Amino acid sequence: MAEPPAEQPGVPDINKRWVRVTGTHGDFVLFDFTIGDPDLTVELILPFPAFLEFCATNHAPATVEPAAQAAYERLHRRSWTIPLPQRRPGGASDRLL
Amino acid sequence: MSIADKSTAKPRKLGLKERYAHLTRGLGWETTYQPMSKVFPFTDYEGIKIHDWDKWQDPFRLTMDSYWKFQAEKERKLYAVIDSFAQNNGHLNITDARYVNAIKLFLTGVSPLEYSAHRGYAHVGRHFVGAGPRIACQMQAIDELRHAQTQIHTISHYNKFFDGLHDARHMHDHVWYLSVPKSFFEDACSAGPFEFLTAISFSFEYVLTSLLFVPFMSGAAYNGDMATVTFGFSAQSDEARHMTLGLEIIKFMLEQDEGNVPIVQRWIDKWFWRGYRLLTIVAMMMDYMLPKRVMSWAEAWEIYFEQGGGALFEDLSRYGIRMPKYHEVASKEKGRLSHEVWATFYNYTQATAFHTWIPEKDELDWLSAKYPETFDQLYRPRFEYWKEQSDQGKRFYNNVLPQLCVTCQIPMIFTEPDDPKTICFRSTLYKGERYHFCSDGCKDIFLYEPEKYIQSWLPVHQIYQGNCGGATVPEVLNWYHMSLGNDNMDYQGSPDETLWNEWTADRHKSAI
Repeated sequence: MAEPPAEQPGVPDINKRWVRVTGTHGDFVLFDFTIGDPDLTVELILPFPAFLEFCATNHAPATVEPAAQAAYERLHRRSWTIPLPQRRPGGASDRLL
Repeated sequence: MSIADKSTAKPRKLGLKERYAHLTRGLGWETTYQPMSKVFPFTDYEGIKIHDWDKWQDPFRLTMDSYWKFQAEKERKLYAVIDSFAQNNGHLNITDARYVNAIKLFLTGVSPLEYSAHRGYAHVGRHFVGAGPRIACQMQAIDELRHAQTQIHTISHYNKFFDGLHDARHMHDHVWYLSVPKSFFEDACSAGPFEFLTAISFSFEYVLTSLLFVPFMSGAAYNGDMATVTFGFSAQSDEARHMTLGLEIIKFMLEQDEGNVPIVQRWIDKWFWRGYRLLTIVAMMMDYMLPKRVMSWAEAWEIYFEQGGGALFEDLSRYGIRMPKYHEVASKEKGRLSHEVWATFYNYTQATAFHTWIPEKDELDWLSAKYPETFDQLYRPRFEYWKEQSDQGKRFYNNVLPQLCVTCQIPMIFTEPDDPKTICFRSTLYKGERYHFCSDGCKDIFLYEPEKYIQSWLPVHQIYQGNCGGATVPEVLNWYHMSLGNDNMDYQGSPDETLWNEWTADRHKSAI
């Protein structure tokens, strides 16, 4: 007689990914990156344009911690007001300086 | 209460606090068959005075049973993710095969240190009189063993597809540049228990590890290496506990006796410098080995040491502790460290278990922008010259072995703190022999304990003495368990490059 399977703990779905912004430092965004399960979280740091690219590549929706909201928005606004000539010619967005 | 009452009464469940006391402090006792000094022979000789072991504040109220439960659950999820990446050919999602060379350096240089840390904590955990630090060390010993295992399991996936990952343990114990991390940890493990904790828990874990784990994990994530990110899940959450232990041990020693302050300060000075020298490989990984860069070494040093460390030492100043000696030298070197080291590995990559290369033009531009005061003037012309030579089929390999610093065992490649064009040479005579050093920091460490460091196993000396398999490069490589032409030499033309181009060509085709 087959026993009902013992409680099968769920395997985290590695395609489910989240990002939570925890702070900023100069042009860098500090954030927690989670794959599949809140236990699987790692603290990362990336320059703002690289951060946006990272979220897009991983299809990871981003939330911002209330304490980091103001600083993150400043960074966000600033990145859109950088005059174009300051971007390196032909540089990809991650090389925005 | 009668005996009968007792046997029928439901056993009372212990409260959390009681349970915690029984499972930690309750496990220690005063010995009676043998004097305590014989059972714990290493607690006095370093000169640290402890008057009351119970003043030790446990940084984390964790008992062994809850540790197992918590870690087992975390590990279960972790291994599910590792399997999943392996089954989905995770190695094909990285930005470029050059990236894997950072992983090769990590597996041969850093993962064995996790294992050494496991041994070190297991050892010192046995030698503290107080049950509090003993339990904390025991848990950290198991953490470190888990880290070594997770890293080996994660990286084993890359071993199926890339060269240089096949024998990390053997390489760590034999290969010339790996004697740098190996000797660092052996220095710590052969010190007394208090110095070990200052070295590893405080100087390394608390002051310096954030430079390794946050930017390196960010580099892995940004370059599509989700396998490495998985061991970040495991390591980073433990790291917070380890850092708390590091700060606790320092405060405990400083609060117990005023006489401990100068001893602890000397250890902080020594282990800051040793740790900083060890991190040169991280500087190189960040500036040269990540196809998509996160931040420069100079930026990381500013954020994590100059700002983060500055605040820490300001906090410790009330105990009479100052910034580690020569921290200003480290800051002066931040604009040149990675370039000096990458150039050295470029020279000697015929004897490394990873590939090196001249950065692409846009990568050189990134370095010029990040290091406006040094890169164009001092380093870029050299890389461009080497590129020119290489394009003419004259890729430069240096066949003369370098002189090594007796203390950190790194080749004498660093430059004078105030003159980036002059190699920094220091030396001293001891018992009729001359010993050489890369810096004042390394020379100071030697002078305080010369009998320890004259025993250094210096790879270059050992090769020239014939103790490393023979007198030729192929013989030494054989002794290193490296395969000539596969594991080493320039990335350009390597089997790694050939295979990567094939795989990605297929991927592009199938995408069409």
